[in-house]
Amino acid sequence: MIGFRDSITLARTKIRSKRLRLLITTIVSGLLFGIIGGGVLLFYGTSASIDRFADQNLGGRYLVQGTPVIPSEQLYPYPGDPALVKEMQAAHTAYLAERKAAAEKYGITDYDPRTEVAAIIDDPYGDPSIPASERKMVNQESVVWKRRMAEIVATAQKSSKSTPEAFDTAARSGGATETYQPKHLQGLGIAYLKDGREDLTGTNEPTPGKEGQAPEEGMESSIAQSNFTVMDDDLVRSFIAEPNAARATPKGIPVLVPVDDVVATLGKNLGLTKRPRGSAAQIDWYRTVRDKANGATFTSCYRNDAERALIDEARQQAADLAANARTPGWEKPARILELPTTPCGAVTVASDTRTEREKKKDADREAFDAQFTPRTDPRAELLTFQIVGVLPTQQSGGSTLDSVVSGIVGTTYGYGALIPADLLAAVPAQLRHADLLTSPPPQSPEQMMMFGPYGPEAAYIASFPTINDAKSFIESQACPGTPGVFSGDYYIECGQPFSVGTYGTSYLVVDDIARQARPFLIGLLAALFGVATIIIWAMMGRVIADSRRETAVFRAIGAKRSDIMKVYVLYSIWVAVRIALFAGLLAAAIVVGIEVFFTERATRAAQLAYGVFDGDARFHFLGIPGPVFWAILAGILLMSLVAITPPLLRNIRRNPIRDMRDE
Amino acid sequence: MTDSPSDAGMPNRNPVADFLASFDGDVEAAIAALRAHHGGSRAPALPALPVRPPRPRSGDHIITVSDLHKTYRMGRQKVAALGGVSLEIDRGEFVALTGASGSGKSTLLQLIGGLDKPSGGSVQVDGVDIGRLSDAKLSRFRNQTIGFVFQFFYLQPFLRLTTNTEVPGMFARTPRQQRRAQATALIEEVGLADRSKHLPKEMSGGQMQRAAIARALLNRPPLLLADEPTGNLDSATGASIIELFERIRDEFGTTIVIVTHDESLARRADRTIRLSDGLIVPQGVVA
Repeated sequence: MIGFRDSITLARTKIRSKRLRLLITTIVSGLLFGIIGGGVLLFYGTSASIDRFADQNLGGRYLVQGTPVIPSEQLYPYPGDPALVKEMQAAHTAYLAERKAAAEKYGITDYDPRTEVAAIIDDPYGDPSIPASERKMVNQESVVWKRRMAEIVATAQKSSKSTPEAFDTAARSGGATETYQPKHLQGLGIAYLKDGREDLTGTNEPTPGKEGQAPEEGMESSIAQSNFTVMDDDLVRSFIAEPNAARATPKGIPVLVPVDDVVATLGKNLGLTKRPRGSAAQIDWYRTVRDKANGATFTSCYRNDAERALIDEARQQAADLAANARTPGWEKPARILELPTTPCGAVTVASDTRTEREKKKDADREAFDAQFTPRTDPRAELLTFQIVGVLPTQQSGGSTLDSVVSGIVGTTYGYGALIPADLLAAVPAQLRHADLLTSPPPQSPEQMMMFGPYGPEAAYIASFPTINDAKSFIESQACPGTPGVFSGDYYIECGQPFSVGTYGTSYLVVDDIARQARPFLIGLLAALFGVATIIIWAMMGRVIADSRRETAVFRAIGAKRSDIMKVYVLYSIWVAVRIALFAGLLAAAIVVGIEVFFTERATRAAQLAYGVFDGDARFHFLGIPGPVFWAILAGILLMSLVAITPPLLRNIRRNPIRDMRDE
Repeated sequence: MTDSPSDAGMPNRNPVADFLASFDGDVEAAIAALRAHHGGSRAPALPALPVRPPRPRSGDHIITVSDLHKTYRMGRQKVAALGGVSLEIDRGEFVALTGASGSGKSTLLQLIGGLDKPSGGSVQVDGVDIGRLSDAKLSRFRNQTIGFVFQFFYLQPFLRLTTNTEVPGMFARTPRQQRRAQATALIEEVGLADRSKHLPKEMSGGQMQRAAIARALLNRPPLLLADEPTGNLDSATGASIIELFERIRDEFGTTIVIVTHDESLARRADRTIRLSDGLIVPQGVVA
């Protein structure tokens, strides 16, 4: 067979023929392949950069959050079920008898069972084939229904597979090195004291805006909403600021507050400005907020239900007194309560003119009520919180590149303000109020659905050493067909005990985006690849077809078929290499161009998105080519070889005389 | 059959007659002299070339064609290009195949060269029945035993003369240095030493055909087959090519078979074989 160098010599002569056609083919197909290659390089670079920032954010581990899945059909029996109606009717009758007996026991002479909430009411949505008078349903406000719900919740808790232990076992068998249970504390009766003052004009809850009006500034923040979560320090260590002079001694419950919440609630006092526009300015702003807020304190007030009931009674009395001061014959209440005069102070009794008999009667009423509702003593505690760091938050509602990137890949810790558990343990007991920082178990299906079977304390987080371990665990726990980040519908029920997803940072976002966009990308790449292939195919096929005479001459002067194959295969490789080289250079040029013009901006966007404000990590678009990139280049080569094969086989099988005669 | 063309009918007192009288075998010099005589302004009407006496036949057949048939299909019709040709050509012989268009002369040449398969009969070249050779062996046979020269030269347009000449050596895997030396010698032999680095497009038709002849001779084949080698050249250049064939035959002992329409060129051959309608025209018969 002809030698390699000689094959090259003859192949080169082909390259020098049909130059214009070859040039156009190289440029057009190179452009298409270059765009494909550029996209792939960009993908590799962007993925690597995202991983780098995610790694800085997460400290080399990958967090997965598990949310217990509660089969809702078990929690909500149909209130119009005739059997249930019958059962609840009987329960209600028993309840009334119970109440009547208790009233007799405690000498409640004015007890009237007709004042009790009815257990059975008309069912407006019942079966129309049944006479209207027989269409009944259980009243969901009735005591017997609530008792039944509590039983259902208790049963669900006992039978739930979504226990912390089950999560720990599953996660560790999937390679997790640690599991955590953040304690979510929302709705505990803690109210933020704006500027240290308590507002007793309302229910002491944050003031939402009236209909059609914006809420009062800062009152939607995690501070004002008292939305706190006790969390392991391990999970949030990167956001805990270095202790400064203000934190020389602990002054309260340590808390990490979302950066926007700090500004919204404490901004005026701390001299902070609102989030500026522009990523560079935002990074500076974040650092400023972090430094100025470090060690700052704010106060909140804890009042239990009994204490809040007293507040309400005192306010009502004050209102009645004011309204009836000049009403003839109006009698003041025998016991007058006084609202607290200090922030988070207790309600006091201003005067009590009740007779002994009246006092006994009130005591009997309290004992009667206590038989049906557990009684607690009123309690009020002033809580001081000390900011030990700020959490990155996502820009909401923006349409800029930064906000879009931030929204897709960004960091979110999702539990309001975070209380680092280890720092909390180091706070003196009188400032810590540990007994208050816990949530009661759910009492109703609604609470259960919202917070899980064991209440808001039971949220589960697992830490994995590698992204693949985390991904595998998520996949093992996911229901088939679980949609990705763009769907919003995460909660497919399929019998799995947990709904799992990434936590902290959406480190699987690239994976997820790739999964979502795969059909489109594959289609696009295939189309580009197809067009480029057709161009190469047509050009190469034409060149080979035009080479019949040359092939015939080679055959006449002694070339074997294999010699000719070798020459044209080398020619094909040569052309493919030129196209691949052009495509590769073009792809690199595209990505380098993007790198030069956008890397600064992308780095800032990533810093904001991942909350990485220190360190020298940069966002690069140019990635080290991976297998797909090389596959594209190999595809060019393969396509070229495939393109020449049919016409070449035809050429070498033809009678050389015929081809020479055809000229 | 051997033609013996005579120049008896040529006029004596004209420049051509003078040229013929002084012709010493150097065709190009003679043509130059002629052009000078005519003031160099236009090409002269070329004279009939001098004819060498035919060589005696040695009886050592390099080609033996026996009852050779070749039929082509043209649509539904079969056309007999050769209808049973038998002949022998001796080693070192210079034979011209002549005949009208479609007489089968080119077909015969191609069958002898192994470029086409006969429909019947056999062709033996240098003792080998080429109809029995496999494709690979036939390629090797063409490469080693036969040199082809075509009407349209068929040089590689982007290879310089030396490299173009080396192409058959490439397929023979002749070592590069040896090949280069052979090519250089042949280029000198065909009078193109000063053109060795030129591309075909930088050469005239005659020079290209000389280059093609050099290429055909690279592997020192015992047999040179030329299909209308002068058909694309002017008469003077064609004459010089025939002269070159003669020299090759004389110097290398190469057997040369050419196909030509040109009777005056054919007369330079040792023997002319005339074909008509796919058959050899017997001696003495006017085709």
